[in-house]
Amino acid sequence: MLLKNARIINPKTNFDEISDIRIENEIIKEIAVNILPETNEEVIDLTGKVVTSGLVDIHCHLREPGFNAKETIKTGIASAINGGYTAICPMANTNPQVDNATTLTYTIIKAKEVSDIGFYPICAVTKGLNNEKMVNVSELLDNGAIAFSDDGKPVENMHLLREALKYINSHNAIIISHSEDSSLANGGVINEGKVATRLGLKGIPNITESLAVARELEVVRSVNGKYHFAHISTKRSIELIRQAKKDGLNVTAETAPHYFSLTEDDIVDYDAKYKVNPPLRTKEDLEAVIEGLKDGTIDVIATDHAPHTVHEKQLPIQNAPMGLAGFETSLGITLTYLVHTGKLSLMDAIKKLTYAPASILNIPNQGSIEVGKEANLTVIDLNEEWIVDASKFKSKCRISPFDGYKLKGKQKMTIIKGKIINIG
Amino acid sequence: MEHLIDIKSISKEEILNIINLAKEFKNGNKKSDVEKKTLALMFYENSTRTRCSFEIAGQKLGMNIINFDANHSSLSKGESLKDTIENLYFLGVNAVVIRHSLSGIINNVMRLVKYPIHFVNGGDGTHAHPSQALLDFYTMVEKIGTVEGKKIAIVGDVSHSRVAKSNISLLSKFGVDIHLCAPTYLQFENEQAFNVQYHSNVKKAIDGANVVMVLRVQNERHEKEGYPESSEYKRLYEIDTKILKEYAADDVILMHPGPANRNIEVSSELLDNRVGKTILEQAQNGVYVRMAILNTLLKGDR
Repeated sequence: MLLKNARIINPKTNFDEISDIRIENEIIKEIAVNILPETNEEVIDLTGKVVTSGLVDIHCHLREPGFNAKETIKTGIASAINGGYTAICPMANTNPQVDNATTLTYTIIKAKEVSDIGFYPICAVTKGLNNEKMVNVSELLDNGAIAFSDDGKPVENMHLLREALKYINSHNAIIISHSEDSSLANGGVINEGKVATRLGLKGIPNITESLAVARELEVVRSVNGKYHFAHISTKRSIELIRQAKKDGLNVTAETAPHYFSLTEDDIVDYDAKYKVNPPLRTKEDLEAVIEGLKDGTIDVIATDHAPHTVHEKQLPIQNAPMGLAGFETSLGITLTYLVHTGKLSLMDAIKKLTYAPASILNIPNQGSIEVGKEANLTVIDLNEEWIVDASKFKSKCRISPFDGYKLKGKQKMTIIKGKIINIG
Repeated sequence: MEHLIDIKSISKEEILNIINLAKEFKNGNKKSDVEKKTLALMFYENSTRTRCSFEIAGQKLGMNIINFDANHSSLSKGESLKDTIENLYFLGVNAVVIRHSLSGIINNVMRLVKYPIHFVNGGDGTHAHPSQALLDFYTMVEKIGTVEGKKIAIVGDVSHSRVAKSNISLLSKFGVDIHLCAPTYLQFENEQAFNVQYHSNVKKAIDGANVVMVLRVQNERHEKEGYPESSEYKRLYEIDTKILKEYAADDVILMHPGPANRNIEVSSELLDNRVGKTILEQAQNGVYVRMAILNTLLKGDR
């Protein structure tokens, strides 16, 4: 198969040129200008389109096993592919939790049944996400775990975190932090600020996040650990991580598209579709997130795809669960709010969606376009204008704060191991 | 006007129309336009004043009143508020007054209910209590005439007060000089939320005030983690005859949305004397204001 005339963006080598790509038996065979098609070779003209290494999401929730009404591995993968993703790393907070080899294997088999998408589960740090007992790290790694996180809940026992960090790092794996101080978050619904006060909703102060970041950075510093911060949303957290990086700590960070496109001011009419954890913050925080993306403090854009049923998201905002469907709007939001506004170069944006996440978690066969590697690619129309229609999501979570948003830039094909899936 | 959810959503003109209509009801110059219409009172949180006030208002208007017993309803069997309200609509209910502990619950349910039933907010969480603000405003106007440029001090548990918020919303529209007074732990989480003056010193707050509105300080709050005992509040913030005389305007009017904690936020002596009587007049005016609200919302219905 020959992909012709595509603008190839490959952040690993800072490559941005129009070229052709030949794929044979799942593998990229050749990248060159003007490759001549062989007899009977399928040729796809991608003039005007961008081709990148497939998008990699290192933070999502597929809900299976246990919460299949919200999402299943099958619908979650369909949603990811529809969003342009060729590799995903689901979090462990299912029921049972992915804290044991049996459940881990179950999810991997389930994924394999429906797709060849890169499927790299993140296992729990603590058994049952209960802050008490460390999981069997080597056993989980041998069975396909890519990293460890209690995401959804913080690890708040600092002794345990320190021991787990040392041990997990010694196996060349990392911990992904859900940075939250639960005593401050307690019962909060949206960001603590003028909107929460006006609406009469309990606020989640931004130090809920930065306090946890600060103390976890001290733990990382004390053991010279390798550590990744999930869904960073506040100005102060970014300042702390920026300083830590300057000090030479081996830390990385991610944010999610809603933290550089929405603020607390967007929350209208007590609608729980805006309810997410961490909460939508202020304009000042949003600007700090963009600054952090620009200067490299924030390495990764992850979706934090966290689906729930429509019924749950229609509950009173205090009772509704936190989380948004993220896969199918992630690229469009990134291109619209960062690239087309000139805040981030296309190269940098693609890097944070592909090469950086793949490198941080050492995901094989993802993150860069190279001869000899698996053909996991995403084809993008940078200028297509489209309107988000949540009712058409492949995810079961057909509710989104971006429903009705007009975006510019859209994934058009997801290519997994050389197999093309066209996206409308 | 179809619904009364919060003060923010209604205009100055609509407010004045309600006030004028309430006055006509009070003077006996106005007949009901909503006889035989059906009103359901759905109180999911304890209430004496507001529930009785709406009930009496409805009775005076010749309405049928359903006193919905929230604790023994299908909601306790897990039925959603939306389903309950849609059923009530099909049973012939024209309007519901909802009191609930969750802020915004009426906004939420209005988005889901597909039938034209009128919603009246009888107090939702720490969000809004618009009928209370309207009756407070009525009472102020009755007592002091024009309110523009007058000073009101709202003293007490500001942070949890839907009454304070609805009053701020309403009085801001009429140019009232608004001062809020509370210890830090009972002040709004975010002071930028409202364009008012904030105080922790009660003497400064009520200095020259034409209206002092005392808010209930809930004992149960003081029993929670992170708060001092209520005696700590009383030492610094209790409103009594002496402090009013010394600092507030001579003709100050004292208000309280009730129920009051005697000798915590307001002295027993003050409540029972001439000044404290305004609080009872407030409650009485509530009936006429709620008649005006119900008549306004429902008069256009077939």
